[in-house]
Amino acid sequence: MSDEREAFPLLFRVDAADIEPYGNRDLWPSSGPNRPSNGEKFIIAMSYGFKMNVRMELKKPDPSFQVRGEYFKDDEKALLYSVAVSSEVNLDVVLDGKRVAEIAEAYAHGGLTLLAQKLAEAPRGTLWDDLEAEILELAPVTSDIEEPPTADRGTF
Amino acid sequence: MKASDSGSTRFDSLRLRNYRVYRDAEFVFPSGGSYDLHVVVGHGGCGKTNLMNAMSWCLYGQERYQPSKSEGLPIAFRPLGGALAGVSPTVSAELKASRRDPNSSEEIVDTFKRSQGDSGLSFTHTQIRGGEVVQDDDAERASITINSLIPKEMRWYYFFDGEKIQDFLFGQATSNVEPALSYLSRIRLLQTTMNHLTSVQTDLQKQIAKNNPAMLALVEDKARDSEQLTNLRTRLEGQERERDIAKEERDKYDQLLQSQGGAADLPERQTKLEAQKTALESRIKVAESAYRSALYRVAGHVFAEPAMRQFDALVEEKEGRNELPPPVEPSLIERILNEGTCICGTPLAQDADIREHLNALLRQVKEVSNLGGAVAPIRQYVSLVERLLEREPAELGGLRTSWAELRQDLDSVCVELASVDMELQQIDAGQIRQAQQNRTAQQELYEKYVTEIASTKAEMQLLEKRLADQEKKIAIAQGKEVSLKEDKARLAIVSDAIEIAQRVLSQRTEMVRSYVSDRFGEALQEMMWQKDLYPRAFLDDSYRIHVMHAGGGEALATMAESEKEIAAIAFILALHEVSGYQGPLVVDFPFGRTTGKMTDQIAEVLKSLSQDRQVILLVTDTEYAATEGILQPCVASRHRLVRSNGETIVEAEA
Repeated sequence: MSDEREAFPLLFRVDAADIEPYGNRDLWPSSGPNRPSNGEKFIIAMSYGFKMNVRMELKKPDPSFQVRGEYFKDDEKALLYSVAVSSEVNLDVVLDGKRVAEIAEAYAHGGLTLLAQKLAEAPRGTLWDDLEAEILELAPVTSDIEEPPTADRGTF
Repeated sequence: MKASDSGSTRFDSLRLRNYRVYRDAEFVFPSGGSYDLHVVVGHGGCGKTNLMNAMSWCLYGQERYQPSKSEGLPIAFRPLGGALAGVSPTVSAELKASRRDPNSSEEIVDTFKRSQGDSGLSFTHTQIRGGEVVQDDDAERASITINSLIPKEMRWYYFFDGEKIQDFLFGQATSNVEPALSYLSRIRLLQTTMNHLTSVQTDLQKQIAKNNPAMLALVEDKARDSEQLTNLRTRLEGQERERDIAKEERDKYDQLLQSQGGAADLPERQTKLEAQKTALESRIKVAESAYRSALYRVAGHVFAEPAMRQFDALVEEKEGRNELPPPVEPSLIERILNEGTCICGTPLAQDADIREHLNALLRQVKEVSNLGGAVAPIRQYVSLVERLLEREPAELGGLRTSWAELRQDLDSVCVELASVDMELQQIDAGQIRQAQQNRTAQQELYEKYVTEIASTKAEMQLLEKRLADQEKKIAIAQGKEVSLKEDKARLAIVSDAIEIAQRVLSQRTEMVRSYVSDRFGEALQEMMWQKDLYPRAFLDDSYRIHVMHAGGGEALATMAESEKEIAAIAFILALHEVSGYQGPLVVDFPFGRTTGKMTDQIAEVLKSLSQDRQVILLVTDTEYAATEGILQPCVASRHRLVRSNGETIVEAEA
């Protein structure tokens, strides 16, 4: 019987064309101590690719740049599996680590290509402002966020 | 009783030529009414403080308060457009003072005139007694005369700024009061007498002990210690002088810096703002990093959120079909196959079809079980992300706001810094920095001398004690010595004289302190409108001023501004009375710290004081308007200062 650990892929490949975008500081602006790791960038690219429904098979995987699966956190694993399941519309895919990796790689490649394209088109420094707006639009509205009081409330 | 009738000195007139803002001006302060109250009215910068400075300069060659805008400027009047080429006008101030001889009731008029010009400095004094010119002195004699009327050591208790009058009550007052009281006690004179007597005593003791080596050694030790004590006294005087100079210099820089207002703080503000900017930049980096880190995480979660929903749907679907977890435990089927017996105990027939069916069922259950095992942790992860997603957008907003606020703060700091930089470019920042450094240096010097004085005094106390012991030993040895009766008799007289001088010195100091203290208490009671509030006021052994509450606690720090001003005036009057040097009170900006009722109260006190001494008030238009109702009916003279064509004109008003 194989458990989740065995089913989970240990390595995720990256296309040679993505090496530059992974290292591009304009694409990943962060000036402080918490710079995103390659794994985090991979997950964001994959999620974005999934959201935009752009899945590109790797043309030329670069063996010098791989994302190691054992460093993914639980929430990131949730995304990897969900994307694979949703993509195949089949829960059984979770038992096939290799397939989960292939799906994630294809979406990450597609997502990163889109992001790089968006970066090139957007005015400098505005990419993540646009993305943040999209994120906040998509984010579920929670009931415990207080609405600002209206001006006419409580008047005589 | 009028000021001049009581034997106290009053100023009759002041004539100024080319002195600062005054090209040619005359102030006449007539006497004769019930109140000797005089008012000089003028707006800021038209020469009120300089009028007081002129009086002080005329009498002592030193200005009372040097406004910073006049700092470093020549004392000479400068017409509009600057100094006249090649012409250096002679500056002169002539002050006429009068008093009545307490013995003969004869009127004495002293005229002091100080000049400064191309031909140098001059200070002269002319005295007219009973209409006859009886004296015409040179500078040295003129200084002696003014010191006999208002001693230089006490001049600051006659000319002062009402706004700063409270300084007489606090901290730095101690160093002002002690020299003034020492002067009043004539300590220096007594000290000199004692030094002389000690030297005579030593000579006599040597003479008596010349045939007794042991006694001679004692006398020589004492002589050495006496000489050391005299040296220490000289050193102490020097240190006190240096301390006072440092203090004066420090106060001068304080005034200069104060007059610069905000400008004086600019270099310090610039440093602080630069530090703030650096700290903010670093905090912004951290805040940006936290924000971006959250943004990246939320991006992954939000963009893949539909996938997680689909995952949940597929799991629910399978669960609905009862396929997750498997309906049958695989080990149960394995047992049936291995044992060939059903779970109810009935043996299974050796039917190949049944075994094949059970094997297929076991495979299927195992597969489902694997899937269930794999899906379970993923469900937990997905559920975790879903929970995170409930609060992450709000947290992200919060982090963005914090980051934006910090950037806003930085923008404000940068704007302020730019403005400070610009202001610094416009002013002479170097000069301010220099003044601040000089002020610090003078303060350090002042503190250094205060410490040195304390150490010298301690050294002197030790020596004095040793000398007293030596004196006793010598007296015992002398009793045994057979020597000339005459020398012994002389020595006894000198020793008695020293003892008396020492006693007088300590009694006199204490007496003066105690007189001033008592008189201060009485004066405060007389002047205070709420008599019961502060029943006791005194000067302690360390020359510190105390005003006590009815309940016994120290009240000075918590008194109203007007009360503090009254306490300071009471103290000043106490010094005047005890010293016997009765002179005018010249007060610049008397209502500077008070408003409303308090101003009225001060005005009433000053008016009342002018019944037995001369009071000259230098007031702004606003101050006069506020007190006119009280002062005007009693005013003996009123002058108005008006700026015209770059000079101040004096208009005597009816």
